[in-house]
Amino acid sequence: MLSAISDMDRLYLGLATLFFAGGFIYAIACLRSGKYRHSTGNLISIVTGLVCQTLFLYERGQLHGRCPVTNVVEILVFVSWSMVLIYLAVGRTYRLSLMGVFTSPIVFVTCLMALVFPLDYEAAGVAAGIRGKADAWVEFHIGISLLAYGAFGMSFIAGLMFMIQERQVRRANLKTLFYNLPPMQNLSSALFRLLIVGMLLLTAGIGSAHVITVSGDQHPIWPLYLIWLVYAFLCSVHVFRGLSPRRLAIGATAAFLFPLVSLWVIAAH
Amino acid sequence: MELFSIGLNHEFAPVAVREKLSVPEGELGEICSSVAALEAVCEVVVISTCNRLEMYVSAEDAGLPDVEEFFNKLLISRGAGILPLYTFCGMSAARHLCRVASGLDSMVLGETEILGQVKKSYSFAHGAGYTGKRLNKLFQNAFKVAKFVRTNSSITRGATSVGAAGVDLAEKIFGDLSRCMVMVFGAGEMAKTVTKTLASRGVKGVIVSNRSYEKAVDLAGDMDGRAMRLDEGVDNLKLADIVITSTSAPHRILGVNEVAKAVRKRRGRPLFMIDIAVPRDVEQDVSDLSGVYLYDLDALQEIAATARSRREKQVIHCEALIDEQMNNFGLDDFSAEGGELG
Repeated sequence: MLSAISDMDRLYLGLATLFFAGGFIYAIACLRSGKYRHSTGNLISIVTGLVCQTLFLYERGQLHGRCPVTNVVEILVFVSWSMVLIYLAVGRTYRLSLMGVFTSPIVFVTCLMALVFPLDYEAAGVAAGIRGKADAWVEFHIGISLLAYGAFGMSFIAGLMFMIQERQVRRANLKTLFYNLPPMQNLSSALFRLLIVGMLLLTAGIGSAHVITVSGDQHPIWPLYLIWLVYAFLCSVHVFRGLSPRRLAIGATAAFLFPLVSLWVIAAH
Repeated sequence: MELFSIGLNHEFAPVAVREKLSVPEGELGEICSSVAALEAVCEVVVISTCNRLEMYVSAEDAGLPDVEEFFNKLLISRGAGILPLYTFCGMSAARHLCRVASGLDSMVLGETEILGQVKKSYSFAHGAGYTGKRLNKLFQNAFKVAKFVRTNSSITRGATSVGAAGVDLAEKIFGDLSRCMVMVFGAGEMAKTVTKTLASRGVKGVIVSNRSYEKAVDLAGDMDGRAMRLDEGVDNLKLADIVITSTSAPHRILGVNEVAKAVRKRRGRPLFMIDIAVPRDVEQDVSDLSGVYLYDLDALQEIAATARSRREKQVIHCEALIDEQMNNFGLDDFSAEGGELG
């Protein structure tokens, strides 16, 4: 049983990496040719990659008998899965199709890193046996918090796109690949919405942590509070003090360092 | 049966002549009807724009002299006199139409308006029954070729005039201009041109601010806008998303302090400024303010020149795309096919 799962989950992860590699190659091709062209092929490769990631997480969930975020590999895949999901929901809704070109390489590298780490099947199986039935609040807390990380990841990408667009507009240089980047105002709105979505998800994640009833070794919550404060500060300065879109973009890009570092803090615990 | 194309464009006739040849929509039917009445002619489409007058004719092999004679008579009757005309036959005529529809034969290389004009001309001739199997195939496929060329090249990319460069930059900042308020300082011709280009994209409104209030009222009236005195305009700078300055003032009218004050009140909304005055109206340090994007005439002219040069470099690539697509759509065997009036 364990061997069958180990074959299948790595296969799904490998396939997901391959599909995102397709998006990565497309991004490189765009850079080399100096122009972006809307491609259904790129979208299909991203969606198929998402399906493979979902199957990987499903297999790992079956193995653990709980939400599959028990080690670095799973956390990396879960966060990149959230990013793709939020890209498909937000990026395409706001016609930020070029966002896919920026998302694919990041998700590809994340999946590749996950593929390099070994997966501990025996330990996972034993742990699942000991834990018994999973607590719904723990699952909800982990899942919703990592979805928030996905939203912050996408706000990082939107911030990056804004800064590139701002730079080329300021220099009156509209002749590169980035000619097709969305208008700064649209990027700024999408960025703020992503921050709000991330904040709401993280609030739900932190709230749910307080109703977890199971005892035992739990992850520390303080990194989530810290992240919440950082993003809350950024959003409130933007809303109440009229923080310029450029500074908001710089802030959102830099702030993503906190969720990134926190993943290591939580995984190392 | 042969396909002919005959006509003249901006390279063959100066604007003084071309304006005499401009055919109003109401007269297009009359010309089509006269050409179609020629004995050898089976099908006809007449294209008349501000830069060209052309006829595409499917006729018997010996029909070209009749069409040429008709065209010359038309020129004389409109007071243009005898002019050199270009003539293309068979595949060359098909290729010429693809070039025209793709904007490769336009005065502003790669301009997109021409495709709509050609479509309109074809649609008129088709609706009136002047086209048949041959011209239908030619025009419908030429539209596909033009679309392919535009999608697969950068021939339409970039603004080629100062006004269009301003619009291009504004769209990169704001996206939809319908929520943008334009404020113009000065009532000169250049300001008028740039403002009209912006207004044509459906901006929210225009405010004209000028030292002479009467002139401001005149220009504002032209553009359905509002007039303000110069000092009133400076005080209300916060209302503007796009500012165009083109006064003849010998000193700066907008300094860092005035703009910074407006920016603070705009709560993060960007401010796009075009200073086309010489000497300049806006202090250069304004461009260092966060959220302010300031461009002078040189910057806009450079954008336009770069775009023109890039479009010129794309011509060879576009010609190759046309050849490839003509082959795909079967437009390269035009001298071998027959056709009849539909």
